[in-house]
Amino acid sequence: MTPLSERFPEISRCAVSELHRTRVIAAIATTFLIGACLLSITFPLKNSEDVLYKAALSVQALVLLVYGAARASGAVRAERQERTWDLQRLTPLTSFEIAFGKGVGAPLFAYFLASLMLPWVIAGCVAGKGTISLDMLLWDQACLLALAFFTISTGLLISSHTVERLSKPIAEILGALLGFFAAYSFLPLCGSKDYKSDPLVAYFGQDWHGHAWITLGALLFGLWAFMGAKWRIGRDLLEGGRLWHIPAFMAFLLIYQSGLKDNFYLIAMAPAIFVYLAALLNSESPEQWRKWLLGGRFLSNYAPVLITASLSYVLFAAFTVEFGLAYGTRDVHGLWRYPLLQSCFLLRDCAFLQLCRFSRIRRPETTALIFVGLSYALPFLVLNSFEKTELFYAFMPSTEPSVGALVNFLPGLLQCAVMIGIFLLAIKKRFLKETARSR
Amino acid sequence: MGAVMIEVDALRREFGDTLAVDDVSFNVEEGAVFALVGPNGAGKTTLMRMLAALLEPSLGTARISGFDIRERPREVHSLLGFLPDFYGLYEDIPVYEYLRFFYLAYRLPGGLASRRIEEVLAQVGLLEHAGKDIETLSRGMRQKLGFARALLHDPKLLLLDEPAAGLDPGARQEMQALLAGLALKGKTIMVSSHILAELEDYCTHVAMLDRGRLIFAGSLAEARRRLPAGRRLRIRVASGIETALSMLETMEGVSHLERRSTDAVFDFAGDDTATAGMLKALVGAGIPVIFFGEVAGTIQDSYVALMKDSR
Repeated sequence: MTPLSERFPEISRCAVSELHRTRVIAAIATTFLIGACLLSITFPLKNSEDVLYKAALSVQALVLLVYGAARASGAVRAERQERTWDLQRLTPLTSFEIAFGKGVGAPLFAYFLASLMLPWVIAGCVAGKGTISLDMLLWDQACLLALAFFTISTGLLISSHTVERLSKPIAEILGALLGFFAAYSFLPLCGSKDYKSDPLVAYFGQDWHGHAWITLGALLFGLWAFMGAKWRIGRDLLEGGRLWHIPAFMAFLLIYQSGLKDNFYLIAMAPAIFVYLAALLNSESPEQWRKWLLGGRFLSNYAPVLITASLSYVLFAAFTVEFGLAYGTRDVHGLWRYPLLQSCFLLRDCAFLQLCRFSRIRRPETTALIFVGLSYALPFLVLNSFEKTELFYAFMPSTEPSVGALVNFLPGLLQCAVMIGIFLLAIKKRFLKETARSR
Repeated sequence: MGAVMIEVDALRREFGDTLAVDDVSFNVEEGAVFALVGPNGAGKTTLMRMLAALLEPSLGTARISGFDIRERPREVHSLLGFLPDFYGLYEDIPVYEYLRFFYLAYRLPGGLASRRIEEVLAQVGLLEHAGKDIETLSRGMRQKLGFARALLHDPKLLLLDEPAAGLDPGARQEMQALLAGLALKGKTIMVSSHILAELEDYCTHVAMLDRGRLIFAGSLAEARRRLPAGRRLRIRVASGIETALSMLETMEGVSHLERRSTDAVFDFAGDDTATAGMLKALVGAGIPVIFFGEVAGTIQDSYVALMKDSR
């Protein structure tokens, strides 16, 4: 028993389950065969210095990113499906111990396969006769590990959020797709001879080479994804939420985006996307809303994520506009209005989504998505076909410099107010009696 | 017995529009063996999951050994061993590893793992199967393994949801003996079951649920006293049971008359004088009565009567 397995028993359980003798022998034999095949294919090729290296690294990346993310995406979902989750919840394991144990334990076989491919990658580096430097090998491995951290953490996030309707195989497919896209972004970079100058990313005035940029981004976003998974697992353990999580994540996105974007006002798009995702993925039940409402404090740790996300978004949008106007971003198209306009439409959509969840609709998220899609798509198609694009602002967050700011804001504000009004009525109808009774 | 182990205070749980548990309140004393009975869908599993602090109540609360299930769920978890109405096993690992995982997860002293695991395996009669993969175990063995897991950290309270479901008569008897042994060691046990006759052998208290509502909670003796007015009598005769039956049929206050071999069992609404008169009439008619007495009501009888009343 090692200190690691004592602290994270999930790792030793997964080791017993994933790395039993037959599997280990089969894995060693398979990777040896794959390596031997790559060697026999690449050796006779002319100018083949780096082919073995790239091929072995590609196999390593696919195993780690695709298979690893798939395993992580099914980790919590599998426990829920096989009904072992409740039994884990009864133990004193904390959300961090469970999340870390699953992040390391579930993809254990992927780590093992990737480590078995490493000698072939090194062999490719040696066979490259100087075309692959040690520096590059280390950057490739660092980048791969950072991407693995990102995909596995995001897989865990998907898994911890999946509800009964989403089966384990579907969660695993989502994870595998994510891993595939990560591999797709990584593979063109690997083995690049002049990796230090191509491609360059200008970030807050500093030039970053592709490997460093991807490694940094993957580590930062991986960390947030891990925290998101830990938070969701903590909710199952009946640990209270943390009010600062979402605002902190939005602030991070703002800072992260603002280092890249030329258009200052559009940086508010990033938090908006998060709000949408959070609203859709979060399966807060009416019971949780009731708990929040009965708690009597508006900003408590039980505040639903929809509330904290929406409010944070509005505050950040206002801050962005204020900052942009105060510090002189030249704006001839009225783009400063965009974050605030989007706030209105976003709040409208979130209120509708929650309204659907409180209703008897069987698939509230799907219904809400259809509504949101249609509410934007139909006016867009109709107005576009009649060449009345100047009326977009009445139906979607669109800046219209030909009208005054108030007129531009009015349709969004009205729709938002109406939807929130209907939502409040629904809350009142549902919870008022019980609130009075419990007090 | 003495201190209260479980205090249930106006507990309520809704799932959408369905009311699963409706304002249920009762107490369970330390050392009690408490049976939770009711038809399917009565809310037994929901109630147990709330008491295990796995499911949040919609309203009301409960305290386990003084810890509120809403406020201190983690403390509640450490006090109890829970056997759910499903196995919840990791199929692809051996029995010993399954228990070792939970041993470590419960943060029990690392050096004593083997000893404790062997102890609980011996307790449930699975020691010789320690090295077997869980997927090869029979239904009864799986249930025993779940039981072993629930006992691993030596909890003060055991919540057992349908522990005898799917077990053959032999395994049920073993389970019963195990529960009786644990009760003797002073554990508080709450057990839900449909097999009421078996509960009667080792339970001290009972709660009956119907459609989410508590219709009775108290000791077994109190439950028996809730039998409908009147008494259930049994008469055994040396011969002439047919004559005795036809006489009884005509007597006032006799109902639910049934023949069981040379016995007649029936409900009688009359008082003590009427009962004495009945015996006199039978003996006077030349029927050789060798037993005449009251039959104690079973928990099953109480259950049926209380269910009838509640509807």
